[in-house]
Amino acid sequence: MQLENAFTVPVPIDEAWRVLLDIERIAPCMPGAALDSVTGDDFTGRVKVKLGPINLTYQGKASFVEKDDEAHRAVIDARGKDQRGNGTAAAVITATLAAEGDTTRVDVLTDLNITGRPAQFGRGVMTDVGNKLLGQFADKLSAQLASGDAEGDATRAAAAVGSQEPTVAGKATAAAAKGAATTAGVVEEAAASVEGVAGDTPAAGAAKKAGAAAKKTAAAAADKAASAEQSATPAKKAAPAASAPAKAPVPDPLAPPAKSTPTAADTAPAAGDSAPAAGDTTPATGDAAPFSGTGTVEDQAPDAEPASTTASDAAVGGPRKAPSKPPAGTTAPPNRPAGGGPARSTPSAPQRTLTPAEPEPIDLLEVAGGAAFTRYAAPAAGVTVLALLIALLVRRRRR
Amino acid sequence: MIPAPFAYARPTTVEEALQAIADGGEDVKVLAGGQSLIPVMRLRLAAPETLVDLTRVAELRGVREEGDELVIGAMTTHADVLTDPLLAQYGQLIVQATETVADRQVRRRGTFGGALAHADPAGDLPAVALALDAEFVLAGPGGRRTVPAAEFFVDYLTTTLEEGELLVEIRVPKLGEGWGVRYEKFNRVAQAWSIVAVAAAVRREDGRIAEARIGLTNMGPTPLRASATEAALVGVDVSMETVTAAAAQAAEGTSPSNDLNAQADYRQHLAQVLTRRAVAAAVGL
Repeated sequence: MQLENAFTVPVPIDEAWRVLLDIERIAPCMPGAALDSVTGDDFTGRVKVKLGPINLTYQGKASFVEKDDEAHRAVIDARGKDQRGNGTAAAVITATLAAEGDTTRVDVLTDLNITGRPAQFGRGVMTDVGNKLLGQFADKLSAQLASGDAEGDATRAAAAVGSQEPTVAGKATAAAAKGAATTAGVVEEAAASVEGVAGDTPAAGAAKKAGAAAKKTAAAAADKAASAEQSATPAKKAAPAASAPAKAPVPDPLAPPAKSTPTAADTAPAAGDSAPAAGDTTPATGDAAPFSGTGTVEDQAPDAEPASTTASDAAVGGPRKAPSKPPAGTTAPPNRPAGGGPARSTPSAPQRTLTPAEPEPIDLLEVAGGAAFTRYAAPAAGVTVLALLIALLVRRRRR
Repeated sequence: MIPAPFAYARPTTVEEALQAIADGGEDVKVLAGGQSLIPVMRLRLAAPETLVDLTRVAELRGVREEGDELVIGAMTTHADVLTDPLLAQYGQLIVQATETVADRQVRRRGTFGGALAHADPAGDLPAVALALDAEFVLAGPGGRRTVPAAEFFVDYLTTTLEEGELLVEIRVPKLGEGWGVRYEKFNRVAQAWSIVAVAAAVRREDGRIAEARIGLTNMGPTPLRASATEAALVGVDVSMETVTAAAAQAAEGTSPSNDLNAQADYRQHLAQVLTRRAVAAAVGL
């Protein structure tokens, strides 16, 4: 079935385009959606659909199959399987941006294909549900973009770092000129890489969440810093924010040494503070000390950007998720440099994802096989012993 | 198919039921008659962790009078509704609609409150409850609250019932002297869901229509009122012309879904025709 949605966002087309391509930013806009991993243009995740008594969780992967910077057109191909085997869902989502003065019109065309029982159930309800989900997505995205407008230059700088191209280093250099703003942006990116690539241990999962929260805080901090145009005071404010989230990347073993972090360190004094802050103690960490751990996320958010809804969201999420951060730190391999760079800027990075959808049936078969073996082991042993006894008896008789 | 494993609780009072829901973990479902939930569980489209079975909660069954209102317990089965003397006298619209619900076996187990809490847009009873301006009494851990029908139905299979809450009774006004009612249901095979249905209750005074209440089934994600038709009917003479003219506005403001049974425009046409028939029958034409 074809679903069509259109909405207008109050930002210029170039900015809307950058945000649209930042999958980690737009994924939370989808109701019930969660990202599991991001590797270059490919990402995996889950979408939960709840409809009265019906619960479906589609798990799968998606990728950008087309990114036309000229026409501002992106095509995402997504497909997933229900976790309980209730069929599949596949969608080809085509988003087209069109400038309308200072605003941007976004047309979303979704070709949705649902198989299995949900397709049969509910007399065409799925069309309406799909439409409703997409409508909510559009609303949230447009709110997200609207708040992005307020964030101004910093967001753009962060977005430049955040864009998933291998050319990110070049963009980052340009962006680094914005000083402290970029620092926070880089940290946001680093935090994002934790969010994206964290492994399958529970601790890593917690780190992922903490990273996500840190990323949002950092984005807000970046914005604040930029609004003051590199003035020293906000830069300092940004630094604690930056250094605390910078701890989150530490457990990430996959993060390559960041290209963008040193760049930022060269150009911006604040960046210089925050990059080593993750590794060992420097003046910046000294500044950040009162803000370490849970406190940082909580304290920094109201400080950073009251208008930003994402920041306050992060603050809300912070206290609950942050306590599980320390264990994440202990799982970290110590041999990696801190301040891990954007995993996304190296699309060839090995993908450590949770892919529970596939192995499940195989596991079951193995379990069944094992059970069969144990079931027959005892009788088999009994038969062997019996045979031995008979053989002994027969021998004795013959004598 | 066999449902996924679940824990099972069978309380005997509302308090116990609320406790069981609170203790049930993250994914608790309340089992009333089970005529929708059990099939969905057998298809494994739903796999609740805990099922709280209300069939033994005696206080939720039955119909009683309270002043100008009838109070219908949520666990009153459709079969009970059909044989209840109070409803036969004051709640004919409910009785007529309940007669069209599924088949005899389903009506034996299916419950009035269960059908409302399930809130299927094609279900017959939500539109009736809406047309009658019923009030829903919900019990929760923090006490009871009353929600009018216009606020109870939120979306597809979605109501204002929150986690941990239970629909305990439904209050409907008595329709006595002067009221005529009719439930017109359109479906292609016997005992099927409504493609469209119309519930009409009309009060006559001195040969004129004094008040009209019209509920539409399956004309959107929730039951709807045909407000334009209701307004157009007030004060008019009782004649086929006036009723037909008013019924032409029945589909105003509706956006029914397209499916294998009917396209949206056909549903809107059906709504007009069925409204004309229902109102005409209700006023005795």
